[in-house]
Amino acid sequence: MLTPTILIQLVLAGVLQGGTYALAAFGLSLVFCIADVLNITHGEFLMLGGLVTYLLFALTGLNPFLILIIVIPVFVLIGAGYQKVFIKPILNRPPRQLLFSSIVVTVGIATAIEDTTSFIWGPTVKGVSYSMPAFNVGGVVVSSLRLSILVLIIALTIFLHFYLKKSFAGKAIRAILQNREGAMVVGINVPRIVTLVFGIAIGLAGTAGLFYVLLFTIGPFIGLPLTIRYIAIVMLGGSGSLIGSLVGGLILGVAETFAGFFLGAHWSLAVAFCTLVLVLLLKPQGLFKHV
Amino acid sequence: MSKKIFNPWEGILIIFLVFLAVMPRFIDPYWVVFLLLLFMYIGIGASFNITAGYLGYVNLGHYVFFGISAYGFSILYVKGVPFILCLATGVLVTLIFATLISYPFLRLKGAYFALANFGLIKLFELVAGSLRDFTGGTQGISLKPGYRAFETYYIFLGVTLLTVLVCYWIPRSKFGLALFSVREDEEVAAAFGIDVTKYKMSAYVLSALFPALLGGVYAWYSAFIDPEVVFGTDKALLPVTMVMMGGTGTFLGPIIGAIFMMLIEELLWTSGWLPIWIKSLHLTMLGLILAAVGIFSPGGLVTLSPFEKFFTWVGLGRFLGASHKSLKLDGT
Amino acid sequence: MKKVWFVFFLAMAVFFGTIQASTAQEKKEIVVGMTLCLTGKFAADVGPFDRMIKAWENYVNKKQGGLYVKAYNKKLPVRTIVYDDKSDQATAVKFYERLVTVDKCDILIGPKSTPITFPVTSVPEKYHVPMVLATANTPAVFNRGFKWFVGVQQLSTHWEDYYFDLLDEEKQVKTIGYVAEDTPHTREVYEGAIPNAEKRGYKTAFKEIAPAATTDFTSILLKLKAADPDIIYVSSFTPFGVTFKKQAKEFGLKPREWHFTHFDISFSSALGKDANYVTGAHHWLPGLPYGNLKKFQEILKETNIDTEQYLDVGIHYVALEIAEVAIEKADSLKPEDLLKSAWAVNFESILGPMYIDQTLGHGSFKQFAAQYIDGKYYLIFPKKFATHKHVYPNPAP
Repeated sequence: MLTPTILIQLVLAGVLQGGTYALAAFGLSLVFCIADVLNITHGEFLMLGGLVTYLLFALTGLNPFLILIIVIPVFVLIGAGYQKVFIKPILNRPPRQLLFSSIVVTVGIATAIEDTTSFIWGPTVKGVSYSMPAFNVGGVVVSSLRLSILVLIIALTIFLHFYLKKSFAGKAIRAILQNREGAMVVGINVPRIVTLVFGIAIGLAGTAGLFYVLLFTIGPFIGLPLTIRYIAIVMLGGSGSLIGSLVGGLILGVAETFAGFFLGAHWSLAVAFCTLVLVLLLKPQGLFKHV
Repeated sequence: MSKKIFNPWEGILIIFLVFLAVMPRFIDPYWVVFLLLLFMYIGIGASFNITAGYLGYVNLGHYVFFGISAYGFSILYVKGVPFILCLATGVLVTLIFATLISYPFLRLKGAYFALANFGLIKLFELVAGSLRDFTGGTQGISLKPGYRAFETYYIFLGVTLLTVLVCYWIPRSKFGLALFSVREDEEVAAAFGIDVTKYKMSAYVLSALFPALLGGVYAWYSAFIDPEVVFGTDKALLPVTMVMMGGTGTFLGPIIGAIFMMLIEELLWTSGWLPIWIKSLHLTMLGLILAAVGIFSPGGLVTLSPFEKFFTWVGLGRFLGASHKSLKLDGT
Repeated sequence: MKKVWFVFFLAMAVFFGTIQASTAQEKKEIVVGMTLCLTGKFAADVGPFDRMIKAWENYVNKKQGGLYVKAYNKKLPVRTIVYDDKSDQATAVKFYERLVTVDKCDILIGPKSTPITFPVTSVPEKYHVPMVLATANTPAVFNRGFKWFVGVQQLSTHWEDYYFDLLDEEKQVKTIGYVAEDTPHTREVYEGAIPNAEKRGYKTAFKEIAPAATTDFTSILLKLKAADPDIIYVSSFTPFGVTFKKQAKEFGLKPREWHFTHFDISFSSALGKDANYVTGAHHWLPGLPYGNLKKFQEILKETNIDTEQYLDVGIHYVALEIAEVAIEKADSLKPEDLLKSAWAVNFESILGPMYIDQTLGHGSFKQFAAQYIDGKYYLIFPKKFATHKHVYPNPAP
């Protein structure tokens, strides 16, 4: 039953699927690593990214890939604002209290966002009717929409990679990840960098939301289940690691498609989660160390 | 200090408990249902507190014990097995599961532990949904229907009292002392010769007992469960949020948190004089209150100084219990 | 200090306030109570129904002067109470208890979704207060021998009756491929549809169930493509349906017709041109000639509810109609009389003739077949009020 065509098809689907996951996961991963904050609100920002895209598309009919240019900076700013108002007050607490507080605050904000969104724009799901023709390569169907999204994700990832490696802010982020006190001694303005990291993270979430609404539908209540999935990837891949999020996302994506094919669709998600639990048990810190 | 003298306020507490026991005869059955749910949340919350507050391991997946027991109970009950056996099996299966999973999971730290457990809930939801022949799949299990609010009220009251008593006893026992030392600094505790693994596992399994009891009985009460009802992620976060709002690591925290949240929901929905838009946004307000508590009162509502002052004033200071801020040497 | 006392007094106020409400003796009004999924998972299907309930109440009280009660030989005003059950089982049960014991409702309207309906139906059974189930159509709910509720819809296994009747008449379809979302309702419809179709002679080319949260349908689409049925039948809610259709397009699936058991404006706006000529089931759409249309349309206009978006409007409204008819035809407001009257209803609702199956208690409404054509939803079967002819095969490129 498993012809090479089907095999390639499954791998391709898994990779495309995984790539979308990875993008959203990386922001979560960075935030967790740099501030020890479990940002359960992450999924809500993805939802909002999708919502903004939907609204702009419905209003202007602009090509979503152009809407991207608006979405990214807007969400970076939202992220920074969010951090300053809600997260900053709890950052300087001892680790266990920080864990509790971050859960309480982020769950609270997430609930508030979901409810308000449902109230203002209604609880119905929304989608964007933008499509690109798929093409056929020797029997293997390639979705050009998904491929474009994957290309963009890879581009973003490469950009982030170099940003973290070469730019001053990027190096500052890595310094803080490795040794917080040391970074402070060297004169890095830690609070400002943390705000920047949140901005980047939420910016990534919003972008992921744009891609998400192109492929699927969004509704006010999709945030929480998605956050759980991304947390799973973060833990799988190792927090703070760009490669880790990518690999984690890919593993989950491919596991889903293959399980769906061999075991039947209703096992695909269960297998994915099992994979996560297994990896965690073998490597409690995740597969990769932080950047 | 004044432990030998009979504190009149404690007498009131006993009268209050007796009142709870006879109340169902005199009040609207609605309040019986309301209280039954309140007891359930307190029970789940207080047992969550054992690992989160006392041991310092935040088990976000605590609710999974509730669900496993509910399913264990239901699967047997539809086959005609008597109630007690079903409950016992449900609880036993949950405890065995807790024991097996505790060793590998307790090797994880902090947020990883929290999230791995949370992932378990999702995993069980998916598995329960897939194993149609065993668990009825997404259609769920439908038990023999019946109106069981009164019996459930008493059972929940009993189980919750038990949970609360255990949570009261732990900080005052050697067991509790060991848990606190693990919480404060695990390596140092081990260096002092405390069998850290044994205490962690015991706390974990002990905390599983109470939601297991509640879960099995809940299945019987509602006569219908499916993966979403007992393993749903928003439901799973609810008792956790209640405890965190009330104050983790304290005896009163889970109780206060549960009462507070249920009352707010009740008030927002049933007071006729509130405008409709407030009612529509009740979750938003709850979320904002939650965030406010997290930002301004990290120890939970219980640590709000007016609250502490009130309880000390009425002489119930010793119920404030050990908070995660400090452990006073005189056991208060 | 202040905070604690505040909460304490509030608690006492709630407690005493509700106790006082329950000691009211004389019947001055008819109370109709229910919970709605205003937040949570099912909010998307329920939406603004609380407005509709209130509008109905206003209409009945202002334009009809209330509802006629035989025992008093006069009309009494109606008061409706709505609680938000947050799509949660325990919350719903709690509120239905409240509706019965504290708010002293005369008639209840049932909640949405199977997991909530199951435990909730024990409440009317225990307290002997009649309930009208608006959305429940799971056979299992009606098979338990409960007496104190009636339903609006036929059982879910009949969801596709009219659609298959249409196919029978046109004699153009030979094979059908089935995909279902693994949620109780959609699964039941799928499980009822397959034997229904096979009995009529349609071959099942493919069938599979996928979890509701599936985001990649590669394996199913590959198999469906190979099977190439005339109709691809998808039993799903909007999120699943949209994702599936989008991916199906990429895979180049071109059946002669697409059928989605639930479709609404969210569905068609998310798919744009790709939703054209999709068929499905609908409840109330303009074009139906039944019942007190003037009243219904006035309420719709006042509350600004779009029937193309909210499938359940029709059945929710009919539940109210059943309650109305039951009250006015009953000998008195006593529970037994109301219940007898509810079981005996036989009138023309806005969805057509409505009567209750005397064995199981479910209603008589079967979903109409509809089709989305060039931006609007049309009824295509039964023919007598179809607003558009069925377009088959799918002419879209």
